Amino acid sequence: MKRKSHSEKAGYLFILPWFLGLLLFTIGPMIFSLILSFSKWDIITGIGSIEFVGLDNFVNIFHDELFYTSLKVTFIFALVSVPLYQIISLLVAMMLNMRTKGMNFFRLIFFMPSVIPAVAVSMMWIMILNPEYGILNKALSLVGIEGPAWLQDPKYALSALIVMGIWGIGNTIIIYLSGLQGVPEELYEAAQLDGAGIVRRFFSVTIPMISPTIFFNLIMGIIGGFQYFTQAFVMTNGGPLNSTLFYNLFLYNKAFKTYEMGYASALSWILFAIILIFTLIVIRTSSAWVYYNGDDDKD
Amino acid sequence: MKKWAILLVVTMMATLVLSACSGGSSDTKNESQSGTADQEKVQLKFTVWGDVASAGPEVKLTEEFNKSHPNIEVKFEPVPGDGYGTKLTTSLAAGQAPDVFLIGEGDYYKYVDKGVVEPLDSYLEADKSFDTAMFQKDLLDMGHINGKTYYLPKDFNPLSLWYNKKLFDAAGMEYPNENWTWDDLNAAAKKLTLKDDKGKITQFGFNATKWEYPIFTYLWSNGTAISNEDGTKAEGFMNSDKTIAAMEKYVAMSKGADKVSPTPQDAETLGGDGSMFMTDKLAMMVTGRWVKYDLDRSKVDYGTSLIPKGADGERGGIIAAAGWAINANSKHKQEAYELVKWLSGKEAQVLRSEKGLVLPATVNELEEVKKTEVKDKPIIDMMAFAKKPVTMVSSNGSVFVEEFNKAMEKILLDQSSVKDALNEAAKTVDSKITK
Repeated sequence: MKRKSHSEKAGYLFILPWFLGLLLFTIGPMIFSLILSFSKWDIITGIGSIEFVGLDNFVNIFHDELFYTSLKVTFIFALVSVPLYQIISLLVAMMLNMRTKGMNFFRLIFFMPSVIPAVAVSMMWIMILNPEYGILNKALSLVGIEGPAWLQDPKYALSALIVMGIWGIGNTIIIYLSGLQGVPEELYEAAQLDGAGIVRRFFSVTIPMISPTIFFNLIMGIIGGFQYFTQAFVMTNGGPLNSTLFYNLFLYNKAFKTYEMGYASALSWILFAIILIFTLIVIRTSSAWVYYNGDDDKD
Repeated sequence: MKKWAILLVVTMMATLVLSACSGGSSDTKNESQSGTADQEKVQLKFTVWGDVASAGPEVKLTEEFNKSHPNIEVKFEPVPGDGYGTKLTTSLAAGQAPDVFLIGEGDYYKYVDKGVVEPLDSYLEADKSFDTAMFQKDLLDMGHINGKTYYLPKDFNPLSLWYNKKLFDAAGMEYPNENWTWDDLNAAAKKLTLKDDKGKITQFGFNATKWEYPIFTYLWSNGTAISNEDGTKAEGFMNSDKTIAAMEKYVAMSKGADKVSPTPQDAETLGGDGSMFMTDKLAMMVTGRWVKYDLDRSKVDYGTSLIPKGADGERGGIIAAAGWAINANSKHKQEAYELVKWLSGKEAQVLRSEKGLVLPATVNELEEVKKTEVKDKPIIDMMAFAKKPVTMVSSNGSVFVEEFNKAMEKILLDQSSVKDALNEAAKTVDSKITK
């Protein structure tokens, strides 16, 4: 007994610094922003000038044209990019899971982009996508296609950002890879003996066995998709014609360009609610399609 | 097993706490020490935007100020250009802003309007040793809001017309001169726009940028503007017949059959007007004097001229200026005033303009520059035509600029006609500022 309580104390002590950090730098600011979301505060004149306005911010937001524009951009991005990135990373992960020579090298290659800071990647893609000097349009011109002005044309800017995002899926690939490696080899052997082809094995063995991994990646993907910011901030700044005005970019502009802190806080809580709803939907439906190894033992 | 863990954590926490404490205590010790030594030395901070690594003259000015003012200790804390506004605003909000800070003409009105800038008039009146007559009157007047002075000038950068001599020579054309109208510029730009066999433009005559400052000078020379005088109304100004007609002409420079200018999108993909100018792909541009730094380092042979007049002979110019202001919440305003005086004073003006990168804000020093400057003379002359952009006359200024820019983007991307876009913009501005 005594020993146990001792180790408990040690445990709490260990997490104490983290816990203090959470209180100070996460919970605290969250509460502050919740309070701010019911107020008007143009920050320059200091804390004293916070003025409570009740639900005004939320009412104004729902009359703000740009709010809907940014929601639309963000939803399109999330709806297209989340499934797209999941499928591509799973396929790449399966390729990388093949036990052939030099696989480590390819794993490295696919993961490397994830280590480069988003701002550097964005700068690089600005060059790649430049219609005049960029290699993308140079390559297209070799096969006789005249590429568009990717980032300067409202018809293409969002698609360009979605395509560019594939470059950064290394993390997701790694997680899928580890999930794939946890699938017992004998299941495939048994399925093969029963006459299951490669497609059948994929859908009947691989997918159910890695469903917890899919579940995790899906949730992370949704959160990441809705919070997309850096690349758009660096590359397009919401333009042209607000075609890449992501929700977070809109929020940032309100907070740090026009210094409408109350409005921006209200926006951030709406985003929080949206992400929460989508995550809950995925979690609620998960019991139907996520399969855990341990489930059988419980019965 | 467990004891070492507890020990480890406790040690870690203790180190953290101790280091925090000792950091604090050593600070206070320093303060109290210097206090007793120098009869309470006043600590001041000041900030500017710019290159943090080599903030140039300000470092030297700080050193000299500290030497000549034994009772004041000044610390210089520059901020990189991009983050300056955010950093300054948040530090003002937190009550930790520097005692003295630099403000540019873009933010000036906003800060004054919010009451975070200390008016200087009472300090200037009490101080008989310092005469603001040493500054150029126009420049000082620019800093007046509601009859009060809120900053002392640091330097100034008028917009002017820059032309690439090589391209003019190649076309056998005369350089722009002070009698030029915008129509002359347009006609010259047509001759200076060259195409290859496929019809692709290889050299542009002029850059009709979407940046609002050159557009303002253009509109003023056409006898119109995007707002009324005190920045409270857009209807009938931003969408007046004169503005619409002028803007249709302006936009036609970068669109349509008589295209003489890159579209903003073209310009962006080609590296911006400065870089196009330096690589002999652009013959003329209207921009601020800060491009000089890059132009002088490239091989481009350039000249400057006054911004063209309108058809009625009017001319408009803008000065990008910056000045030193005192934080209204500073604890040591009198000392801060001494610092502002020093940073705007004669020595500072000489030191800053030594390398020819900025123009001195004081009359005598500018006269010195004028004597030796040939290239810069028209730029300095633009001073006489300077007007205040809408952001300098009203706290609503940014609304006008934002909506006007939006309209321009729509027009340039063929989403709307000039008339519709400006009508809509004027309506939006007026609805936003009456709130």
